[in-house]
Amino acid sequence: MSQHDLETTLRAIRPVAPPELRERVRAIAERPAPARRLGGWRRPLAIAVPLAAALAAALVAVFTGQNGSRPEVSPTAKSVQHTKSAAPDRSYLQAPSPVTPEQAVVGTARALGGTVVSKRVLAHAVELRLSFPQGKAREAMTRLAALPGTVRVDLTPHDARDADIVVVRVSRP
Amino acid sequence: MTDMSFAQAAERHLDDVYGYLAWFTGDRVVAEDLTAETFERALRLWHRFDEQRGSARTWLCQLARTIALDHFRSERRRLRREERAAQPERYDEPLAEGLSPELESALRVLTAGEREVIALRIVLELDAATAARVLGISTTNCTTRLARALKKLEEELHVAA
Repeated sequence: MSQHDLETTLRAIRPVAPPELRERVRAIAERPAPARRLGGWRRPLAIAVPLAAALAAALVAVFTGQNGSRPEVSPTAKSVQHTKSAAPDRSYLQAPSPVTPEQAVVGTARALGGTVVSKRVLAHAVELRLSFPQGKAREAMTRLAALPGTVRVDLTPHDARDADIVVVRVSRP
Repeated sequence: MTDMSFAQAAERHLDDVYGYLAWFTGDRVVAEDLTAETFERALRLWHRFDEQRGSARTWLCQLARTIALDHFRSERRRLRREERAAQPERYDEPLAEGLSPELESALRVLTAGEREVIALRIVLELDAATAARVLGISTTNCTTRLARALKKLEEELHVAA
């Protein structure tokens, strides 16, 4: 058989989809297209905005922790108290921190597609086991290590094929 | 984007995708599953298809190829896990209807890569540039691969005769 004949023979036996497969594909085509995921420039934005918010909140938490306690005002020193109230109100600095280190870790993990697998409360820290899609774990470790309150970040071996487990230890508030 | 609807593209190119996968995998049952998977994924990604960058047939074949390669990888992992890698592949069904036994067995000697290039260039009659795009190789490489595959097939047929 010459190469030309061979090509002709091969062309003649082009496989045709069986009717069951045709029906199956028709059923797929009739489904409504699933909702589009964020793509293009919106995807990084969807990650960056909550991340920036979490970082900002964490920074505020750190600063408020370093500024010490508010000076006590004696009930008798009314004039002093009055003078102080005229000064800019800095009481927000003493307000409870809106985001704890643990919440910042969880927020960052979720922004990267991670989920919390387990949580363990230790004497001075909280240990979180986080699952990340493969390929995201390294980036997650870098970001989590940069968060205030993070004490330790480890990557642990894991049986699941498509996920990595990162163990993060954060200081307890 | 495109004026063609997903349903139209699916109807028009189902045989192409199935034919390509049947040749590539060498197993019609697997090809059926992978074809359905290809169209499932194609439906999800249809908004990304751009007619300016290539035909729907090329785009669907590219998707089918990715899915087939994923399938090969997971099969390899499964075989390794089950320690059955040494067992020869079993083909219960012919590659396509109407093949002579000699041609069928000669085709079985070809690798998946060789069958794939024949499927694209001869069976689906894609031009060299389009087939090369689906395969992710240069046009020259695609032409060389096809020539080698056909030569090997011819030799196998001579041996059988």
